[in-house]
Amino acid sequence: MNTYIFSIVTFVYLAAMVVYVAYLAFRKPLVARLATVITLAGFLAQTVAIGLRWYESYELGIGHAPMSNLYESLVFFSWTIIMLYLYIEYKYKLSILGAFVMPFAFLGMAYASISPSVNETIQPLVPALQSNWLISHVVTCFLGYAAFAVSCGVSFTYILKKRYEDHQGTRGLLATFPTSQVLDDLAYKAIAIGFPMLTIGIVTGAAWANYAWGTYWSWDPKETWSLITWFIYAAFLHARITRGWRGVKAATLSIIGFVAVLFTYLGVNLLLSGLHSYGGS
Amino acid sequence: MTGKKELKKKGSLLSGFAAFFSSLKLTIFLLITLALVSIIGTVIPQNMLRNDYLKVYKESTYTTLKAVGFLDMYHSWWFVLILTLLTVNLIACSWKHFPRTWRFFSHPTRLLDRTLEKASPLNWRRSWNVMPDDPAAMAPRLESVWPGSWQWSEHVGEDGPEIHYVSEKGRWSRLGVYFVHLSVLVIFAGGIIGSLFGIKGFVNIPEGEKVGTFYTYGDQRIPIALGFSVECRSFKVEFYESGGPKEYSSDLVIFDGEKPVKEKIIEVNHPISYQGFTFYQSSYGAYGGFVDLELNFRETGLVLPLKLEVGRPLRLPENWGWIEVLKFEENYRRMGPAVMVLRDPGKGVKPYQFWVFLRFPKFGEENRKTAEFCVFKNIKQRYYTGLQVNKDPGVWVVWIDCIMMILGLYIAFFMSHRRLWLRLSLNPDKPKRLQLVLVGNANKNQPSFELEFKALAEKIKAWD
Repeated sequence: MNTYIFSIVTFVYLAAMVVYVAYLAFRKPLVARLATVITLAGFLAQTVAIGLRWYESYELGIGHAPMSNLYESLVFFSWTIIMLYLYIEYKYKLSILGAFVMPFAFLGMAYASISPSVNETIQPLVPALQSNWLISHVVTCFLGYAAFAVSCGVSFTYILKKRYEDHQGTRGLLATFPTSQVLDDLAYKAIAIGFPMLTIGIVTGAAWANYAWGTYWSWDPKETWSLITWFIYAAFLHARITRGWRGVKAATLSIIGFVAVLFTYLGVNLLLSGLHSYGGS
Repeated sequence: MTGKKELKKKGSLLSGFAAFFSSLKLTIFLLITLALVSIIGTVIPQNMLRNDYLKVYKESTYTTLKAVGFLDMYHSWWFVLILTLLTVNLIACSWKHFPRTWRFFSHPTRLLDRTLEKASPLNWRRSWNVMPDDPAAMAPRLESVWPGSWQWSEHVGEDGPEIHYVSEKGRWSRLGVYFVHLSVLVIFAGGIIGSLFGIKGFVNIPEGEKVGTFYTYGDQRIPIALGFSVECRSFKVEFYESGGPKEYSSDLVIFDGEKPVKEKIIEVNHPISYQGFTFYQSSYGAYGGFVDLELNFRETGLVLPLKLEVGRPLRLPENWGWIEVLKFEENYRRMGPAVMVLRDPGKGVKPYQFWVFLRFPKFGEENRKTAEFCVFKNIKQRYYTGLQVNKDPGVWVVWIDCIMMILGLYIAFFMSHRRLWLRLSLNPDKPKRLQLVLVGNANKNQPSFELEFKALAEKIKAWD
C-alpha cells in the first residue's frame, strides 16, 4: 500500500516540478501558488505513506523506522528536501527556487520507484542496525543532505545570475531571478543548516560505531566520504570570507560539495564496499 | 650595517612565515587537499593482510603501494603532515584574529560618535523635548523597550553636553568560532591519545570456556593479557525466516582471579566493559558439536546410526572404513543446517566429501550415486562467540569535544552579537530641543535584527 502511494507521490512531484518551471517562465503568482499546493499535497501524502510503512513493518513483526534500506532512504531523502524547501519558500518567499530544488526530490523518488535494482519490500533489520542510534543518525544526516541539495540548487542559480549580472544583462528569464547577493546569502544559510547537521550526523554515527564495534572511527569508505564532504563545506565556509575566493569560486565549492554528498550517499554503497551496504539491496 | 640588514631580512622572513601560516587561503588549500587525498583510501582497501592484497595486485604493485603509504594512508607520514599543517594553520589563524575579537570584550565601543553613526546602515533619529535631569533615569525606560542592561556616560560634544547609552547582547557569540576551532584540535588530541594508549583486538571464546588474553589485528597476531578472565557461558543465535541473523547474544562472566565479578548477556550494540576494556559482540561461528548421522547401505539396506563429533574422524566397524564430519553450516546455500561429510570407504575407493541437509534428507539419497548414502538427523551445535576487544582512554575526550563542536557551530552560525547605541544631544538647529540618535549593529543575521531595530524605533517614537 505504502509503495503505491510513493509511486503516486513521484508523479505529484514531477507535476510540481513542471509547474515550478512554468512559474520561472511566466512569473504569474497564481502559478507559484499552484506549484506550492501541489508540492504540499505530495508532501502530505508522502508523510502519511512513511507513517503507514512504519506501521506495516510492525504488522509484519519486524518493526523499525522506515530508514533501513536504499528504497526507504531515498524516500526519506526526498521527504527531507521537500520539508526544508517548503520551509525556505515560506520563510523567504522564494518560489523561484522550486524549479532548482524539486528535481532532486523528484529524481530521488523516481530512482526509488522505477529502478529495478532498488528493492522496495520491507526487510528485517540486521543486528547491527537494531539500535536507537539509527533514527538520530539517519535523520541528522539526511537533514544535512537536504540542506546541501537546496544550497546546490541555489549556488547553481547564483552562478547563472552572477554571470548575467557581470554582462549587464537586463532581459530574459534571468532578469526575474533574485539578485546574486540574495542567492549567495541563501546558499550560505542552507549550508549553515547543513554543516552542523552533517557534523551531528558524523558524530552520532561515530558514537553508534563505538557502541556497536568498539571504534568511533575506522576510515570505512562511508565515514571517509562523509569527512571529505565535511572538508569541502568547511572549505566553502572559509572561502566565503576570503578575498579571491568568495563569489563564483565559493559557489562552485558548494556544488562540488553536493557531488560529494551524492557520492557519500549513493556512490559509496553502489561502487565501494564497506559497513553501509544497505543489506545488499 | 650588514647585521642590521640581515636582522631586517630575518624579520621579514619570520613575518612572511607567520603570514603564510595564518592565511585563510592556506586553510582552503589544506581542506581541499585533505578532501582529495582522502579519496585514495576509499578506493584502495586499507590495512588488509598481505596475502589478500596479492590476490588483487601484482607483487610489484603491492610493494609500490606499500612504500608510498597508500595501504595505510590515514596513518602515513604525508597524511599526518597535512593534518599537522592544518593544526598549525588553525592555531596561527586564531592567534592572529583573537586579539581583534577580544577587543569587543576589553574595549567595547561605548560612544556613538559621528564616524560610527555614518558607518552604520541601521540608524534612526528624532527630535525630542525631554532632557533627563539624571541620565540614569533613562535606563529603566530603555530597558522597558529593549530587554538588556543599558550603560550610560556623559560627554561634551561639538554642540554641547551629550549622553551616550549602549546595550549589547550575545557578545560571547563571537567566541563560537574559536570553540569550533579549539574542538578540532582537541579531537586530534583525543585521537592521538587513543592511538598511543589505546589497543584493539579480538578474541573467540567457545561456549563454556574461559580466556585471559586477546589478539591484535594484522599480519602478526600478538596475544595481550587482560589481567582478568572472561567466560562465555552460552551463546544464542536467532534467525529471520529469510535466513539472515536476527539476533545473537553471549552470556559473558568476568572473573577477577577465581571470583566472578560481572555478568552480562551482550549482543550487537550492547557491549560489556571492565577495567577499561570493552567487549563487543562482533561475530560467531560453529565450534565443534555432536552430529547424528545415519549411514544407509543401498545393497544390504542396513542402516547404521552414528554419533560424530565435528572434526574428529571415526573408524567404522567391520571393514567399512572411516567417516568424519568436517564442518557444520547454519544455513548452507539458504537450505538450512548442513554438514560436510568426508567419507573414506576403503577397499580401493577414493575418499570423497559431500554436503547433507537436515531439512532435505532425500537430497543425499538422490544425488549421490555411491553404494551408500547419508542422512543428517540432528545436531547439538556448540558455538564460539567472536568478540572485539577495545581499550581507548581518549574516547571521552572525543565525545565531550564533539558536543563542544556542535554547540560551537550552533553559536557560530545562529547566534549574533547585537549592539545598540543611543545618543542624546542638544539640537544645533533648535538649541532648546534634543536630538535623539539610535544606531544598531548585528554581526550576523542582519535582516532579522533590522526588524527588531525598527520595532524598537517605533516604540521610542511613541515617547513624549
